[in-house]
Amino acid sequence: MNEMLGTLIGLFFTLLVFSYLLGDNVLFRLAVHIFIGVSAGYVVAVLATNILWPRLIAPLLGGAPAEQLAAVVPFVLGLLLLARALPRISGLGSPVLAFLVGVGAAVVVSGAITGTLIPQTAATINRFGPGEPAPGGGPSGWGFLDAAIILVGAVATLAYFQFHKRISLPVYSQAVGWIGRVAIAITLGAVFAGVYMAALAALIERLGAVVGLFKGFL
Amino acid sequence: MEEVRCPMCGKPNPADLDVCRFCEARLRPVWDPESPASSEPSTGDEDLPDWLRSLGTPDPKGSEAEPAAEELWEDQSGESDAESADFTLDAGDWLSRIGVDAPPHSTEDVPPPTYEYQIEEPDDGFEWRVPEDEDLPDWLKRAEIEQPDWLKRTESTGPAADVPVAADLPEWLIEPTALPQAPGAETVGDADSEPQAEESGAQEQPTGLEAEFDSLPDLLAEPEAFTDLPEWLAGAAELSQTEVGAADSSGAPGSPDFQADLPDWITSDAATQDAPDLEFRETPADIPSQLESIGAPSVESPAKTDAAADDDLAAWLSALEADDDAVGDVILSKADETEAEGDLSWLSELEAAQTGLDLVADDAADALSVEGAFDDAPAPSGLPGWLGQAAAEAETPEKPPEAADDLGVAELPSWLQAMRPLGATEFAPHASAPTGEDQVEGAGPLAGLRGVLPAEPDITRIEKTAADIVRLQISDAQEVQVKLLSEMIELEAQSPTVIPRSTTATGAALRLAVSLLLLVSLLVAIFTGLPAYRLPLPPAEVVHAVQLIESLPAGAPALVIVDYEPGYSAEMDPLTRSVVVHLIQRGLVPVFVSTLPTGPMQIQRLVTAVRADDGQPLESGRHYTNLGYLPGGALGMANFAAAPRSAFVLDGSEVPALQPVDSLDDFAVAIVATESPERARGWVEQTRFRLGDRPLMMLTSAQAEPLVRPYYDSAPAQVAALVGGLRGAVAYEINTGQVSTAAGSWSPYNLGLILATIFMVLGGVVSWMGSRITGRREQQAVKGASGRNE
Repeated sequence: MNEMLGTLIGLFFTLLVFSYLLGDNVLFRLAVHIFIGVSAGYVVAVLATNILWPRLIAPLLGGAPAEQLAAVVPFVLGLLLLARALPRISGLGSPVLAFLVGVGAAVVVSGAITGTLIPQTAATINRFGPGEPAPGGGPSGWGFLDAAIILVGAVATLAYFQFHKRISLPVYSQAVGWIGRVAIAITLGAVFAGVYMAALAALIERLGAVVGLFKGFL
Repeated sequence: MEEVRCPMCGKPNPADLDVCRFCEARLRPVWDPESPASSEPSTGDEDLPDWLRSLGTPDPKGSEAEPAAEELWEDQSGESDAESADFTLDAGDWLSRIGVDAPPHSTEDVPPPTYEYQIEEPDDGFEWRVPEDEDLPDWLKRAEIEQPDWLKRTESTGPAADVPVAADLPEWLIEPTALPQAPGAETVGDADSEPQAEESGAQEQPTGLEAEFDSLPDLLAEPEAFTDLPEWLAGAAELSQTEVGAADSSGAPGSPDFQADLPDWITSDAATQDAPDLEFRETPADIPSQLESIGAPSVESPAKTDAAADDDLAAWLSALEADDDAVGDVILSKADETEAEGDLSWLSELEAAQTGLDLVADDAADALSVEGAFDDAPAPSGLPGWLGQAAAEAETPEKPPEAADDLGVAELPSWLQAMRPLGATEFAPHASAPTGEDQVEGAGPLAGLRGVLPAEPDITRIEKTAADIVRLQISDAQEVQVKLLSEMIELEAQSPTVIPRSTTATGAALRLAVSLLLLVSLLVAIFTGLPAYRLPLPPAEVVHAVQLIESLPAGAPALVIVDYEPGYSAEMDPLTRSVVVHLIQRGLVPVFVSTLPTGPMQIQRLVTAVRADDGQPLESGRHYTNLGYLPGGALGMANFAAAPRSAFVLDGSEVPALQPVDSLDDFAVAIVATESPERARGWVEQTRFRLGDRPLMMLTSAQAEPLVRPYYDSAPAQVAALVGGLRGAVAYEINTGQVSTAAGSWSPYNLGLILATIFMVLGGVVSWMGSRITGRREQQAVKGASGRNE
């Protein structure tokens, strides 16, 4: 019964979303608003039950002294961060916000350097090694060609992002920029294809649910 | 003891005092014509000079002792009766009080005669008023204190033999033919103070006239009194002083020094005509008749009319300017050039200030002609106070026109003129109602009168104009710049207007047609299963992933990170489910965690669909472990990678699978299922170095696969296995021998891909053809236009 009710509700909202084919309308907006509201409510519930209560409130109220002491600091910092909502005392939350932003930036930047930039650069260099096979298999020469394409594409993409108002770029710079523009276009096309495939899969799944419901009725 | 109440402060004083002991005001007038003592020698006249004392009261002794004086008067004036020689003076009080019948001192032993004279008030419209004692200024009442020696010596009281008045009087006063002797008249004393005269001075306190003479002769006689005088008066005094200094220091009345002390009008030609050894300065041409009679009592001194008296006064005053007298020179030198031509009505104004008269004459403004002469006239000790006060009063704020014209308009520099705000004067506060003599009073008891002074000061009637904005002077270039700047600021505030694209009906129809075609095709394919497409061959990465799971030891915990949104469940659920099923089949214990709030729900849906080997649902803690939501994003990933147990409140008894897990590399494998390339990259960056030799496997959506592949294709590879999209799910299920739940979506999936490809190609072709057609039309239009022009 619950499964049937859930299916019907899903069908209803699916049709509301499909109404966008006719243009922006109230039904589509209704479905979007409900979706956003339900998502926000669920997120609050999960945060309250999985994070705030077991990790902050419970130790403050009934935890050991060490746990209480450990929970006081995040509790105070959280209150100061809430002060950002009030214009008069928003300055109290600035240090806490600065701490969060600073730590987050440090983690992301360090991870990007050590986890992406350096390994990818090294891997690209290693691609030019003699006898290095192509990715996914293939002759060794293909690996070198593959690496060259990767290198040219990366350099050309970076070279494309040069904007001058008065100075006209030289011919070779314009050629490299054109290659970079082609590489970007190919990349965006691949991403768009993946998005379409993901959306198509979602559409097929929804249509299959509708068909299955109608089959069940029949 | 009798007490007299002071007229100034009202306090009682003993009757014998002449000056109030509280405020030092005179209790008895200097000269009181009504008092009987004024007609006879009184003990208070000891300070007055004889000649002055004789003017006030008739001195019988004087008349007897100075027969020569009477004879002198008779010879000159032909009139023996001094009492009939009364005349009117309409000049200042001090002039009016001068005894016209005062006979000169002819001999030393002869007591000074006294004179009587009358004051006839003129009826020329002026309101004359003889001030009472209480109206006298303080300086006049204190005249007793400042009485000069010559005044003190010439007192009419006391034995005539003790009064060496003859030595103090000028010769023209002493000569019996000079002046008629009036009974009770007092003689005029010498200006030079002598101890004898001072000792035998009149007992009677000097009256107002005498007090006035106190300061003036003293001023002329004593050099120290000139320090505070105005320059014009000081010059006269100095000049007189020099002349006096050359004369006999004894100060005989007839000596030149005494005569030099006297004003010129006193030392007239008529008076000094028969006076021997008299050296008079050049006297003005016009001498009032009443003053002439002083030296020539025989001359008739009829009661002049007020107008005639005024004319005489003005005449002799105005004659001063033409005189080469030092006083006149000093006056002219101090006056303004424009005023030097002779308007000396300031003197009459001074008299009005002294007597309290209201001068309505227009000559009041002319008093400024000698305004400068009064700059140095505060109230010196030797200078009459009335002189300084009159000087202050004479300084009216109204400037003569000639003086105002001398002030030219200041020329402002160009930079200052540019800063001057426009219309500052027109916007300046102004009085609401005009004032002036033409203003007719409209209300109150003074209604209908003109020139009424306003009851309220002008400051209360100042009001601002409607426009109180002051504009600055700006040039044309500055104005243009200001406009440009204001336009730029306005443009910043305005939101850019979005020009809506003209959507035609064909566009909407085309979109609807394509959508319907796609939907119908998919529905047909789902419903019928046609066309049937061959299942894909497992790509290499899928095979590698299968091999990876197969190589894992049984019973080991496997970290499964479910980080995809519910909207991508249709694509990710089959893939993730197939991998989890494979893990369970291999005996591994999946440990689920998610960095999304919706992750736990996704995990629950996932494990619900999986069954154990025995067909039973999976049990938490035994078959799997759901750690729940991992907050913090990248920070949470880093924290979990560094210390997995501390990231969650875990209890070993609750999660037996996690008992051997102390670090991230204690997991057999880490599998990340996400549709976001950013989250995939984050897990790669944060866990790669923590996993060590443990493999990292990526289960991604079709949209994230191209962005995650570099991590898989890199050497050394950071991602050990990569399975993406619905194709990867189908291939993985087929490769692992599972019942493919994704295979039923393969046909419509392929049909949808084909249709999308066809639409894209057709749309591109049509767009290209349309752009070429449009370009050709534009070119033809341009050519046609250019051909017509040619």
